[in-house]
Amino acid sequence: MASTETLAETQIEDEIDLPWNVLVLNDPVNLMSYVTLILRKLFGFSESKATRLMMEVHQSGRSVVWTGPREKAEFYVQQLQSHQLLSRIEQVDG
Amino acid sequence: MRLRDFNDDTWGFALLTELERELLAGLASAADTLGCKKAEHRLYQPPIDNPSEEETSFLDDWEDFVTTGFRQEFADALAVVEADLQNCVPLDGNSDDIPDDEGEHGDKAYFSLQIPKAHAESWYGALNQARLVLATRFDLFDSNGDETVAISWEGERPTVMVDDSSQNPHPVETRINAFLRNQAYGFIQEWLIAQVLSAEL
Repeated sequence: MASTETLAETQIEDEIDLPWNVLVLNDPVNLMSYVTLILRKLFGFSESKATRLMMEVHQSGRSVVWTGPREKAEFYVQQLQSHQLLSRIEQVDG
Repeated sequence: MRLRDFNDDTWGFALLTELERELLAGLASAADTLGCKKAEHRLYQPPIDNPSEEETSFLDDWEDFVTTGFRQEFADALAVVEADLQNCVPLDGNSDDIPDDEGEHGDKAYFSLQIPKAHAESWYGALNQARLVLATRFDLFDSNGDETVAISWEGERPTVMVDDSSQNPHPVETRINAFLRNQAYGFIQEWLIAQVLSAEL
């Protein structure tokens, strides 16, 4: 019984510890140049990296632009949404 | 409309017609989500899709604090634009910015407007709000992201093409008007990115 509890606790801890993705989703209104600009500004990406991610958003509909702890992911989504980009957090699959 | 990077501190419109001035004055009403839940949802998005029950409290906090903050932030941007527009001044008839071919339209009124560069982000945000709401309210794009209203150039004359395959409830004239406003606002945004906002990085 004790070992089952330990296993359950470990699984919960693993879920809690799984990192979170920050997604930028495609929308037809935001200008491509603006998406690139905001990615550079918020994440400090180089122009080429920001452009590559922007193109991924444009062509694939979404791009993971950052991965890490939940609290920081929430912060980034807040920043992206305040610039009116479509953005979500999503937990990385375990 | 003629946009100009005036100096280190100001950008703005070296030349505006009365119609263009009205177009800018209509930003706040274009950005208003009143009566359009889709537009409201686009501007004030959830942070997470398909949330589990455990996220209820997080989403409530997001609505109370983050979304409320966005509402204030977006309203502030529109207020900055409205205040700046009060500084529109009529152009002297001898101004070099007035086109030479004005000819028979000699009594046409022109204006100029200088705007602090510190307000550029507010302008961009206000223009973006307006474009997002116009696009959503009037379904300017279909579910694939393709334009439902577009300009087609046949020879030298532009023709506005309207896709009627969807059951868009809005009159064609209203959709064309929304499309043209969307284009005009987007033109200013492109200029702002290239001339002002990119320089801040």
